[in-house]
Amino acid sequence: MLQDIRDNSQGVIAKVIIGLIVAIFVLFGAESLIGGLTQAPGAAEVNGEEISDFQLQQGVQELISSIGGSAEGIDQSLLEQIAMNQLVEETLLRQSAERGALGISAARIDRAIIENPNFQVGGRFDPEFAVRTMNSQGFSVQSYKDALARQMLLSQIVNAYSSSAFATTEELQSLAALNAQARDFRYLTITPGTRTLAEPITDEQIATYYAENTADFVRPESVSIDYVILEKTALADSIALEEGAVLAQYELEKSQFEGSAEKRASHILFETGPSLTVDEAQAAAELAIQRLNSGEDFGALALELSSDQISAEEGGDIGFSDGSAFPEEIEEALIALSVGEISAPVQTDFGVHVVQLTEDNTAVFQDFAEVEARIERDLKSAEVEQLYAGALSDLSNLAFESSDLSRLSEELNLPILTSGSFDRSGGGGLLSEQAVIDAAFSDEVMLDGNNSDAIELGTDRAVVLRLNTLTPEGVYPLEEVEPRIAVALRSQMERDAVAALGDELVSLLEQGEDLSDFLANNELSWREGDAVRRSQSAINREIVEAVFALPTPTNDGVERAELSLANGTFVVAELSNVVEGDFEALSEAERDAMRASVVRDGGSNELRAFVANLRESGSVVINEFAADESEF
Amino acid sequence: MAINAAEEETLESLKKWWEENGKQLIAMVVVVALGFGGFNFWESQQLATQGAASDLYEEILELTLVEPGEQVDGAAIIRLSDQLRADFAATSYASFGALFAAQQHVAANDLAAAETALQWIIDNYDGGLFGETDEGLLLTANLRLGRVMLARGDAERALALVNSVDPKTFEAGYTELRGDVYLALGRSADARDAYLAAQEAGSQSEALRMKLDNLARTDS
Repeated sequence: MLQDIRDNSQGVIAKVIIGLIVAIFVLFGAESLIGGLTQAPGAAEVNGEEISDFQLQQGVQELISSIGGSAEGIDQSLLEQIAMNQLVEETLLRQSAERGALGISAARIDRAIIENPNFQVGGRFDPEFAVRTMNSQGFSVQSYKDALARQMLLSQIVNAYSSSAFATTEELQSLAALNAQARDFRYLTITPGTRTLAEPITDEQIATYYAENTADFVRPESVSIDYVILEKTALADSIALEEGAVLAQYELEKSQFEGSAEKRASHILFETGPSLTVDEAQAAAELAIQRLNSGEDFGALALELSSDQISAEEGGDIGFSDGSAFPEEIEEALIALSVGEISAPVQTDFGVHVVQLTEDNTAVFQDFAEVEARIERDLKSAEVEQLYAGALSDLSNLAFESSDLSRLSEELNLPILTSGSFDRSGGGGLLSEQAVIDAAFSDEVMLDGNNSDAIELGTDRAVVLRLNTLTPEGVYPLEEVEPRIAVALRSQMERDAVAALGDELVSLLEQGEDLSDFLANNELSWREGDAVRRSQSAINREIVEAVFALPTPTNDGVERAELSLANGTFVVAELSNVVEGDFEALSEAERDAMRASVVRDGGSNELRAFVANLRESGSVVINEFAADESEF
Repeated sequence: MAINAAEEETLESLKKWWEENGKQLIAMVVVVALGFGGFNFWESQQLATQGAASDLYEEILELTLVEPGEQVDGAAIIRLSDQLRADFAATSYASFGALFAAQQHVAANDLAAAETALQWIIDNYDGGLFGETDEGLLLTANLRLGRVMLARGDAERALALVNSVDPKTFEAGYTELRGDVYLALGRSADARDAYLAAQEAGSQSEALRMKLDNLARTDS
């Protein structure tokens, strides 16, 4: 067979075929032949271009960091949808740019990099710094340039639509005519309140309301529970410490604290050596001390006498010590000094010193009484943790094994407590814990009458509970809800009265009757709205909106609106005059704002329509969102 | 290395083949080489053209960014845009530039020039050698052209334009413009229908709502 191949490979056709294969490898690489076999389906496909799951998850991460870094409580699939939409739109726009043969010149990219303040040191472009910055963001120079070019390309096409919009003078004028319109009207409000107080509410009415609205008076299911509670603080009380242990710990802490104190000192040194014997130095030091005692300045004397010239320049200052920086002899001398005092001559390996204590930062340690409780707690904490862990484990086991709380109570020495009655919205204290509420209303506890599991509340409390009494869902007795019913009935009566009065008013208005008697009898009066603009806030928004929805009145007539506000108030408004707004009469700031908003809205609408058009005329396939892959 | 009989034979036939086809083969190689070189040259020319047009367009974009309160240099934008249309008419940048020229002409209240710039985009919309243009560009240009026509007081021509375009995803914009045109023509009821259609097409514009409110007057 090998011979066959050898023979055949001599043939011209075989050579051509091999030549072709070689050419394909050379030109396109081996991937062109084998790449097609290894692709998994991606998250989406836009005109044949794949968006991978990885890109999608990257998009989600970017989205999360752009909204403040925490995805807590946000629906993952919603985030994926938004990120997917952004990716699809970006891809569509990029493809559009490619189709339109848009491109960014190399020179332009270089300029953008050079002008980027992030790549500048002291206001000037620094190539090395730029490369380091790019690398720190995970880019090579080339990949940074590519990403920048992509971004600039997108912005070119986006801006072509969103930034090129305009507003014609005519459009602004007609918008101003509406938006800056002023309307004159008068309005009358009839508020519910005290109109029906003379009218009593009978027991019969209440009974009827109660019977007809039972659903409003349902009392939810409630329970009371028996429980035992294990608490760390209670365990701590049961631990006895050795006599004096707290005090010993206090002394230890105090000494550590003092060890860390800092003292600052100055000195005058009489260096001993061939030219100065110890005795001579000692005598010179004594002399210096005499001069200091007679009132001469330490710093001046140091400058004059000290062989330590460096410190002498600083008035003799030799800095701070925590008790170990200076030679031992000096440290000992410092202990006896208070700030400002001068020592007797001190002899060290260097020579003879005169030392002054200049600062003492030894803060006062707290009194024993202040820290006693804390130290006790600290000392006990290790033991408490151990005891608590053991007790918690017993609690769990006993809760599961026993059919009531008595064994738990005996073995762990915990009293059985009983709660008041509460429904699913919980109660005070322990009963406000959602875990407790959930357990109390669980099938296991409420229906089967078993012990709950040991419920851990935070790290220092645990509870086991069981049902004491169950009060099933019911209806509140009439006596309990009577006041509520009376209020409901009264407000309904008020609303009815207001509406009846409103109807009467409207019919009088329609007949063109004189209203003065009616208004006086009902303590009502017209209020005026003069030259009111849409945006004003002095008059209730609901009224203004109703007035602005009215047609323009003709021939000195009025247009009337009737409406009931959310709070039950009945309103009649009469529009008498409309004055169109005038663009030119607006302030410059108002004109600019109006023009800017028309341009902005127009541009963004057209961009949105453009992208929608790309999406509609192309092929966008979004695969099922891969669930629970999002553990980044 | 000795040549055996079979190989001798092959060699012989190769020589014969060369005599018959050698000249053609050389000619083909030359043609391919020239073609390849030519293509490379053409491509680099294209890239240079594209880059130059892109740079001009970037200049326009930079000019549109001004601090609040500062005036945009409209004349400079128009000059750059004219240059794009004159020298790089085959690129999309020429059309993009024309959109900005129209914007600046409107700002300067030169509506005739704005119309010319927008009309240029529509006349030169053909895809062409230099990559294809997207439909959205044509729809944008037509919509803006219609608005300019209306602003020039030419409502009939604007209506004809709006009627001749299939607005696709630009439905909301075109129907609102249609309403404006009808209003200018005094056809309030038609205007109202058009505004309602624009709302139905998804426009949530506050201005559109006011226009509709205002037409309540024709009901009673």
